[in-house]
Amino acid sequence: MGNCVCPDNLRRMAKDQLFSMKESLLSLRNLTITVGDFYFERILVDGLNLEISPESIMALVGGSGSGKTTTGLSILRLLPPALRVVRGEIIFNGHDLLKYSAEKMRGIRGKEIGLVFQEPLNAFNPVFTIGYQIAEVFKAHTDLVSQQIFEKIPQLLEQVGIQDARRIAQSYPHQLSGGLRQRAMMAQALAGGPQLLIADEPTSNLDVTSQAHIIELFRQLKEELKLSILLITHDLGMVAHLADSVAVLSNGKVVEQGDIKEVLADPKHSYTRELLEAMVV
Amino acid sequence: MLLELKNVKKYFPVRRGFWGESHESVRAVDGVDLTIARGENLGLVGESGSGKTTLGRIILKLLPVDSGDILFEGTDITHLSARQLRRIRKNFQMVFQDPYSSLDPRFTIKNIIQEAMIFDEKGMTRLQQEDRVRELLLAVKLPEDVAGRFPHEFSGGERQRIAIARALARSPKLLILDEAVSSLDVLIQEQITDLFKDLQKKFSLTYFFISHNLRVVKRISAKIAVMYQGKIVEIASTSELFHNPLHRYTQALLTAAMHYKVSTTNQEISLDERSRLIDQGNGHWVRQ
Repeated sequence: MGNCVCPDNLRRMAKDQLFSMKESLLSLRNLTITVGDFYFERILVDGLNLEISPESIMALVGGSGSGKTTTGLSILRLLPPALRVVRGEIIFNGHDLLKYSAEKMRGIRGKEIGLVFQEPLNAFNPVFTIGYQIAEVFKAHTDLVSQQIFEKIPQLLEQVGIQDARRIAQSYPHQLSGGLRQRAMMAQALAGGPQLLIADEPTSNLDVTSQAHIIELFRQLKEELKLSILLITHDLGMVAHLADSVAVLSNGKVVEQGDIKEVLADPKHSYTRELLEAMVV
Repeated sequence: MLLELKNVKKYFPVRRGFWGESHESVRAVDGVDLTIARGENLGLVGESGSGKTTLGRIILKLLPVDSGDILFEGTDITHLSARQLRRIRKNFQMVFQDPYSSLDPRFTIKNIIQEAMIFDEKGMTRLQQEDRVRELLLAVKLPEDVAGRFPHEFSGGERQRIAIARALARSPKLLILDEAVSSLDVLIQEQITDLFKDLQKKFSLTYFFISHNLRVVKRISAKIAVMYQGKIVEIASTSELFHNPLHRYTQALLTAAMHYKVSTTNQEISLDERSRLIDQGNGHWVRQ
């Protein structure tokens, strides 16, 4: 065998390639996002390449302004109008999301790919109960009738570790503590049964004990629901305890990428090392 | 002694049915004793709901106490009138958690920093005030030209620097930092904590750092108090607390902070009504 380019090897390599392409749940290829107009254009994300496998947790790490949130939002095509994807592909389950119509994207958002925001108070509507807002997702993305939805909601809340689910379902967002709100938001994101969850700084506003609980929850969900998670954060410590692979972003470019244990054991880029040192307690 | 709190209590009455609980009041601060010596930074750690933010507001006299005493430089300030307070307020200032909501978006940076100076008895002229703004911007390492701009033009880290410059405008002796770096990313957090250390030397400040983030608190504080359900459960010097945490809650907190693991749930840690802080020697007190 060896490394010769004889037909057997080529066939084997091609199969591996194809196999790994099928394996990938989400594939970002040469993603380039800019802001501004003809006279003044700034590149926010510069030729980004990223692969997320099924049932795995990929962390996208970087400081503020590194382009990580922009990347996350671009997957769901939720970028503000001033930002434009000028190049690249976002391949989800074999299809390029950038070519999807608005209607097709609606079938993806909340159903195939869920999104969890940093500040649940901003994500939830303050005038509706938690239960109502989760029911909205069921109504939009499933064929369940009201009675079924009514039964499912407490189940879903319990799945994210909320006790006293019925009372929480009847509560308003501001009545819950930060940790509970964050869990409720995850319940809402999972209601559509997504394969991929994008979590943007899910624990930044939580205290350390709540954070530890949420990390444990992410682990559970990955196992129980066979979920993949794209974890966007600046907290390398959390990443170390949760992620399978990591991509470090600086100024819109990936400066280091790979298996979490390898990157942490032997960080090759100075920025990665800086982030690691900043995380030491 | 710069600041002393003696058996401070603050309870919030709760309407039954709103929370669904049968308690009649939330004991946000439940008999707290604390002292802050000049130049000796104190960190207060606890999770959300522990009462630490309420305590910060009490010290600033933004909230009245239900019982207990607050002494500033030996003077009892617990029951001072608004007029009497006005003269002392300049001595303690606060930097808040959210740099996006703590700066008035309609004011220029210059106006934001200058606003407090109007109340200064020194009666500074406009020119003197403007000089002071420039001086403060320099101290927080921001270029002079930010003075004419608006908050929305700046990043979180820069806004916090502006908030710090504002807090320093009246030359306070005590600066209360309420989660002042929690919403910034880790590298900026380091920059700002370094700035705090710088400013402490320059302006002879003392910090009271309230946070749930042990990593940051460790960098600035000489002493750390741990708060749980309205009570102080442990106080020790920073190194002593990290090397030898004695209370179960402190241990759980450290495990969560350093290893991101849940070791014990709060339901398992309850505080006895009769418990007191017992001296373990070396300035290390634990609630038993």
